[in-house]
Amino acid sequence: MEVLSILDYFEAYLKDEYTTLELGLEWIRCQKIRLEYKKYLITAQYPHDDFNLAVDDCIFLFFIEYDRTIRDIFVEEIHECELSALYEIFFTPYEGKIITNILKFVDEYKQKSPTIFIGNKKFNTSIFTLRLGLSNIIKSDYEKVLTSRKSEQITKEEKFQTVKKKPEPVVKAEFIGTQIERLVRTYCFNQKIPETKDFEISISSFLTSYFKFGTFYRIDDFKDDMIISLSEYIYSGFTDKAKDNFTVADINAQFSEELKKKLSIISEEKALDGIAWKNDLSPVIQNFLKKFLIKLLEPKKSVITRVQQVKKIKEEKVKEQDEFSIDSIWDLNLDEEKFREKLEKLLDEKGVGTIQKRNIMRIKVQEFLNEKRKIGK
Amino acid sequence: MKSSETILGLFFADENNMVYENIKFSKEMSQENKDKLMMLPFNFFGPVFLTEASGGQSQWKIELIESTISLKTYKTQDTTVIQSLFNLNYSISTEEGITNLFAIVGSPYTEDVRMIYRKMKEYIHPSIIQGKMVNLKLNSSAFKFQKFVAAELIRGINFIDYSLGTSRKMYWEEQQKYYCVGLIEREFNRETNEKFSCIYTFDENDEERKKRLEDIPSFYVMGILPDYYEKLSNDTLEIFEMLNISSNLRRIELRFQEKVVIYVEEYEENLGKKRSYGVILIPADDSTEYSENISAYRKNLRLHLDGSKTFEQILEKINPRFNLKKWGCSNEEELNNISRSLDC
Repeated sequence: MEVLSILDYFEAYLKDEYTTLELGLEWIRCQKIRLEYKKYLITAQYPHDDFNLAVDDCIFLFFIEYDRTIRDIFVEEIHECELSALYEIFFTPYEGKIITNILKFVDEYKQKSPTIFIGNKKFNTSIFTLRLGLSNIIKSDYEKVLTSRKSEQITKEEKFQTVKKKPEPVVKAEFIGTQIERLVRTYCFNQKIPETKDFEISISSFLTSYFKFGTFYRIDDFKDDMIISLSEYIYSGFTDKAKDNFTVADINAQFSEELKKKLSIISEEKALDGIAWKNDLSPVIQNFLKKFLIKLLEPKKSVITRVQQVKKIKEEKVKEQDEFSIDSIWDLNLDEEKFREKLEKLLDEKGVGTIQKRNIMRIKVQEFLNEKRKIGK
Repeated sequence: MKSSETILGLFFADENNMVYENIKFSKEMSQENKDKLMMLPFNFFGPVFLTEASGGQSQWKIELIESTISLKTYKTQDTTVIQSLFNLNYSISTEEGITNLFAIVGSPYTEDVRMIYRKMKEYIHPSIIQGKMVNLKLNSSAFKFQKFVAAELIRGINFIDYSLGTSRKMYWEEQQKYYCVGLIEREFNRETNEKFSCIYTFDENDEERKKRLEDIPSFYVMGILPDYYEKLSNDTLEIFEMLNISSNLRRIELRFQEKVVIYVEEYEENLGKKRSYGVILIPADDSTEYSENISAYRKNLRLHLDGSKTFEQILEKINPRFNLKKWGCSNEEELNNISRSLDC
């Protein structure tokens, strides 16, 4: 800024008792006022970021009083446009605006800020002059404050998001039934039904490992996992002897059936808190486990495993086939086709069913061919 | 602050008494109340214009009308209660006439009345007057005053609204003693809406009355103001649908050049019957025999309202020159009588 030319321009309007030096000191004072005003503006919260309100508030608080002071050092003849220009120069930051030609700069204000006389008396338009000279400065300063607030807000949000982005290691919830496993193993060895308290502790531990307080679960979220886990833990608690009688699938099927009966009233869509599920499921599992262990003690009487069932069926089938005599048509001199015809005719006569007939024919034809091969025919 | 919790209006009357207004109100306000709202500025300006005109050469200006708020019933559940209710007026005299800027403020806080008055006096009102002159000078034919004043009132009302709720400052000021020139007694029955008011003052032939007449607008005006503004304040509360509270006049201030008149009032209400006593005070000077500060006057009024002292004792204490003659000011006839007997 052309400081000297500006001071020289306004020196012409100074009262006799004031010098350019004092005007220069006023300039410095204005910059100090600017500092205070900016401190205030940084904290100000104008509703709807109203710039007009910012201008009115700041002029009222910081500049009206100063207007009276600065007018005191100038003669009455100073024009309002010159005062508006002076406010803009004095309250703009030193580095803010480059004014190379003060005459041109003041000229710009002449059209906007008239000096009004009523008779010989100058009409006071100080508020208007202040608004004209300072509005742009205040608006621009407040804009900067708003921009800085926004960027600060964005930085804060980004920081928050960065912190949020770090995902905590997700621990997949699973049913852990080591206590149930131990309970079953103990039972298999000493063959004594455990106390209710032991059931409760081991089942509670099993359910708590999955269900969390404050988290909501639907039945479909966990049903399959729970059935499989419980079956596997029960099975792994079995001694080798017990393992001969039951497979994991057996336990699985029985437990599914039990659950189906007990939990049929609960809607599949209904989400319940983890603690609620724990309370609902504990008696169901306890009841099932107790019944299952009692059954485990009396396998000879009533418990027939699927393995035994298959074995029994096979034996019965063989027995059935053995009981059927084909001596009347057994002749190794017959060719295969002839033997097949005779066999079919015999079976039809005996009234054997289609499926059984097919099975018997397959076995007997095979035997016939084997015998023929042995004797070299 | 929600608009429904506050009452805020700014009215401007130009040299020709043309009134422009900006009033904040909630969108839920009924159409009937919105219509009533439009009449508020004229109602509030009425006594302002009257006071300015009634003093002849002395153009007295009403500056402050302050009310206290009381709950109509103690059993109320609704707690949206405003704390401050006051009206401020700042007038500027120019060669063309007087312009008035009037604000009505009701807020849930104890507001810094002086700060709001300063804003009106030093910024809002001057900026309207100056802006008008500058715009007329710059583009006289294209200038639309109505549009300009509407914009200025929006700025003004936002400016006042922004300062509402800020803490009230304690101002240092020299202790001033006052001389009482009249005592107003008012009675109001809420159930029957019956009203009675009268003034006690000097004897009509007392030289002191004639002398003090220069220091007040007139006994006529002073007799009108308390009833008028108390009723208007209550009407305003009704328009803003604040039905569980009522206003009670506390203080009125008037000024003409260096002269000041302060009217302070105390009230007591029992079973819907309200009794108020107020004193018309002027600053004491060497010529006044008896003087007290405002709180002493208030204390004396309370002593009577609480039944600790008789009315005669109080009147004697406030100004021994007063007589017990009642000058009624409840109707036009009584007021004309005051005008004929006391204001000349």
